Parts: sequence; structure tokens; C-alpha cells
Amino acid sequence: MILNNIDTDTGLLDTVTLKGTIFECVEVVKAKPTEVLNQLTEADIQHCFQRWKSRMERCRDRQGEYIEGEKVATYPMTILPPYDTARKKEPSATFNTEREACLKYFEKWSETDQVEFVENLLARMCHYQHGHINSYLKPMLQRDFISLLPKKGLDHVAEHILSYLDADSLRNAELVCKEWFRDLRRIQYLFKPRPGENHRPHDFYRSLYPRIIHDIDSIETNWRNGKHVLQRINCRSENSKGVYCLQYDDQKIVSGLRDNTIKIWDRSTLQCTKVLIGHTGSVLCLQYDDKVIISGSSDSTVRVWNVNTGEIFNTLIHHCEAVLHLRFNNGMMVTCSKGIEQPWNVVDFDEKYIVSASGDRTIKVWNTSTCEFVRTLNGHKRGIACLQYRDRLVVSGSSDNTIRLWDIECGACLRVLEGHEELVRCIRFDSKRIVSGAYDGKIIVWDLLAALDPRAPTSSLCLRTLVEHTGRVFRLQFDEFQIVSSSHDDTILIWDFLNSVPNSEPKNSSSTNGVTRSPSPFSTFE
Amino acid sequence: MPNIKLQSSDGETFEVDVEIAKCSVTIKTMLEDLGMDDEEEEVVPLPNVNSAILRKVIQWATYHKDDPPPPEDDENKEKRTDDISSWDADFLKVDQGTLFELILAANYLDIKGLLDVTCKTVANMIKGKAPEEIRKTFNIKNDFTASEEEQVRKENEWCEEK
Repeated sequence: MILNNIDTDTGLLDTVTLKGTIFECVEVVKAKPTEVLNQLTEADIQHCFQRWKSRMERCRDRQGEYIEGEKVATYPMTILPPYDTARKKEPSATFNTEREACLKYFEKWSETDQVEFVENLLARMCHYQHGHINSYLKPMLQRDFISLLPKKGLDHVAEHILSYLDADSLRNAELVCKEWFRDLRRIQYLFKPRPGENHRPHDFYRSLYPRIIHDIDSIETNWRNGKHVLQRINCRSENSKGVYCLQYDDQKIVSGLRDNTIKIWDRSTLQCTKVLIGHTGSVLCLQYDDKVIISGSSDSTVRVWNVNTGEIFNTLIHHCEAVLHLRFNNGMMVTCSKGIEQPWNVVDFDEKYIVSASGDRTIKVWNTSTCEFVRTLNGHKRGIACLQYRDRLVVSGSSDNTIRLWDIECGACLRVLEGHEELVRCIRFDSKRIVSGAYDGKIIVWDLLAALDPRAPTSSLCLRTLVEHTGRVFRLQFDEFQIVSSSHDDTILIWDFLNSVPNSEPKNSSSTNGVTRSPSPFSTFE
Repeated sequence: MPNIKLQSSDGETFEVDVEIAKCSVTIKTMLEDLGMDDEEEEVVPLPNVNSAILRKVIQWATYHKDDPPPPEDDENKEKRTDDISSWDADFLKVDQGTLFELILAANYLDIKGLLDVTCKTVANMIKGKAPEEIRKTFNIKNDFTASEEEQVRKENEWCEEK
């Protein structure tokens, strides 16, 4: 019962199987054994002691020659004298006859009997013999799964195993040997389209994959270095110039203008395809989905338009002052306007909370289903112009030129971002970045993850300052590939970080732009 | 609970709860197709599985008899290998030969849960290792010439980390 016994480890901890577990960090590694040791019962200890005792007895029975089979393999410290076959003498005739006789008997026995007999033999052998047998036996127990399975007609099982590997492991697996290389190249399955779609040839995906990896890589660098291709839409507004709000998708940009119109632009031609006329004041805010555009204006109305035809569906008159912001989602819309005491500049919500900020420097949180007040987020030193809220995080921009990150559940301010020189008018964040636009015409890209890490130094937070607008930045939206921004300068800019010109020095990106404008007091934008 | 007799390739007979045996789709289909009744004292021959492996398979199936049916493979779902339960991990602390036989048996008997967890175990033996470490793990000889190896390396540069 030596080599056959796979579980020879008699360690206490093994009783509760910590061995082979992967932990998240050192703290857990330290904590886990303590926890496990505390859970051990008296019976566990006794069981363990019994195993040690029986091992000691086996050891004593063989005058110290006894070594647990597995230990020979596990402890590299055990030095095994090499079993030198060259030194072996010619076997004597007597040995040959006796061996043949033994083998004949052996072959007659059942498998169980054979095992028992060999165990018996092993028990009579000494350390270096065990070492030799161990190294003889070890390769016999190894299996080249990836080569052997296809030989048994089980290609799909080999594929099943390989489907669990990541790109790096697959790359290393291709280098193991020719057989693995052939298997990996043959398998059609590792690069696969969505179910239900037609399969393109394997080569297509194999060549597409490196391009995607390359693109993902260069987008990341482009964002960090501010490398981009800039497209500019000049709105050529007749009377009052400026673009207050916008939203985009792959086909179009919908913009709300100071000249009371909503203009829809084609993404590919950058031409204006529709002008929606109806508001009698500037269009301050808008949002659209696949059916409607809803816009709020300084004419105090909210209008609902058909997104495809541009026809007006409805005009909602509930506010007495300019409609400063609106959001809708899932059949619910929240709008905000200038209140009696202060303007409610911005609102955002989900199914849990409605978050709104105002000119009185505070952010208020309400319960979405009951509309009951929950808490106030205090910290900004002047009025708040913009915010976004998602999951637990609120990010707000203020007339005090700072951006603050808040935990909505406890109301704590997590971080203050300083860098803008004037009122921070618009802000958006995704899972990686915050992008903000200010009245100084600058757009700043911030590292969200660093901002959420209390140990990150302030200097690491600002990734890039983008200077191109010649007037206040009013609104922006961004995704993995681009930022689209609009400004008082009557332009809409598309900052494309995917299709940047390779090897060109990032122009238009610096933090030392000489443009100066007088600080503007926070207002209701009219 | 009605029992059923399973016979391994080397002639050993195992008496198993029908419900446990039916976690093998192969056995389940066999029982349905042959119309084998609970009453009959039929023996199901399993000529592709020896007694040592069949014993392990029955042990696995017995432990997992109350598991919910494994979810259908979703191509869009990330393939994880770090979700092997500690019981399964212990159960699969066996030599590669046994693991190989278990994979063959799980495939032949069509036991998805066992096939998944054994394949994951092998994947974990490959994951995150350099080619030479993989060779050592499975006792594989490197039959690439230096220039062939260089060629493969070059073709793979696309997924090299920058």
C-alpha cells in the first residue's frame, strides 16, 4: 500500500482540502488556515494522529527504510542515487530461470492479486530502489490527452478541453509539439461566431482575431496619448449660435441648438438631414430612443417628436420656467426646471434613486418608487451644472471648477478632481473613464479606476486635455471609440480614437492653451 | 428505490440505484430503448469501462445524484475552469491514466457533468504554462526543430503581449 496510495498526505489541513485551492490574496491565504484549524474536531485530530502512528509503525517495521511513495516525488530535497544500469552485471543463469518462473506465476494471478504481490515486493525494497521505480512509473502514469483523444476518434473531447483555454495558453499549446500544433490548427471551434449565424471559414476568424487585438490595444494607447482623428460639424446657426445638447449613435447625431431647432446629422456625410422646428426657445436638453426624441427648452415646454419622421407627437407643458434637463427610461421621465429658490440644473435616475443637482451647491437623492427624500451630497463650493449616476457612483461637475465622485449609498465624497479652469458644464463616465467639458473650452479625460483608488496620486488621474473648441463646451457623450462634443462655438466635434493617424504626433492636445475667457457665473444658460 | 446491475468489462457487477445510473444518458437510453423494466433482473453490460473506473464513475454519480441538470452549453458564455467544487477537485486527484480513463468513460456513458469537470481539470493542467512546462506535465517530446519552433512563434506574435 505505498505507491498505489495516492492520498498519502497526512497533513491536518488536508482534512478540509485547502490543498490546490487558489486564493485571491495573501490575507485570505493567512486567514483560511486559521479558520480551517478552528473548525477541526477532536475526531479529525485523532484520525490524523492514527495515520501518523500507522506510518511510524510501518517505518519502524522496516528499520527506517520506509518512505511514503509520493514523498519521493514531492520533495526535491530527497537525493536519489542514480540507478546505474551500466554497472549491472550480466544476469546469472539461475536468476534468469527463477525470474521466468516468477513471471509465469505472476501472469496467472488476478489483477488484484498482482497488485497485492507488487506492493509486497515494494515493501521489501529500499530507498534508492523506490526512487528508481518511481521515476520508471511516473511517465507510465502520464497521458498526452490532446494527442491521444483524437487517435481514439474523440476529437470533440480534445476540443472540449482546449475550449477552456485563453489565447495565451492556446499560443503556448501550439508550441508543445507537432501533434498539438496540428490539432490546434485543425480545430474550427476556437474562433466561433454567435450561434445561429453562418460559420465563416476558420481562417477568417484566425486573421480577424489579431486585428481586433491590435485595435483594442491601439485604442487604449490612443486614449492615453490623445491621438485621434477630428471631424467637425459646423452648424452655421443664423441668429444665436451654440449647440446645447446632443446624443449620437452609429448613423446619426441629434443636436439641440440655441437657435430653437433640433438638427439631425448623418454620421457618414456629416450633412444635416432634418431640422425639427417647434420650440420657441433654445433647446437645452434632449434624449432619444428608437421611437421618439424628447426635448426640453427654455420656452418651458417638453416636446415629443417622431425620431424617424421628425413630426411632433406631443407638447407637454408642466413647467413655468426653462426645462433644464430631462431623462427618460422604461416608460418613466424625470424633468427639471428652475425652482422657486434655485435652478435644478440636472437630473439622472434608475429604478432605485432619482439624483438631481442644483445651483445651491447640493445634490439631492430621492427614492424612485416613493419619491421620498433620501439624502443630500454636500461638498461642492458653488452651484452644480452636471452629473451622471450609475450603480453606486455619482460624478458631478460644478461651478467651483471641480468634479466630485460620490458613493450614493453612504453619501461620501470619494474624490475631488481638479484641472478645469472654469465651470464644469458636462460630464460622462463609463467603466474606465470620466470625460468632462468646461466653460474654458477644454475637454479632460480622467482615469476613473485610478480616481476610485484612494491610494492613486492626484497627478495620475488626468489622462489627457483636449483643446479644440473655441467656446464653452456644453455637452458631450462618449464610448470606447470616440467622444462627440458640442459647444457655444456652434460646432459639434467627433474625436475618433479608433482611426487615429499612425505615428503622428498628437496635435491639438495640450494642457497649455493660451485661450482665456472671463469666468462666467453659473446661470440657467440663457 | 429500484436497483440495476451494471457489468464492467472485466466482469464485475455493480448494483446501483436506477436513478443514479440514469445520469448516464447512454444507460438511460439503453433502458428506454430496450424497455427494461424495474422488475426484471437484467444486467447492463458496459464493455468499454473496467471495474476500477466504473467504481469511480458510480462514486461520482452517487455524490452528484441530486444536482440540477447541467445547463446547456452557451457559446457566448465565458468558459470558466475555476469553478470546480472542492469535492470534485479531491475526487479528481488521480494519476493522468485514471483521469484519461474517466474522460473516456464519461464520454462513452454520456455524463455531461463528469465530462465537463474532467476536461476542465486537464485544461487547468495546460493553462498558464510555458510550452516546456506543458511538455513536462504530460511527458511529451518536443519534435519541433529550432527553425520550425521559431516559425510557429512568429505566426503567433499577434497574440503576444505588447
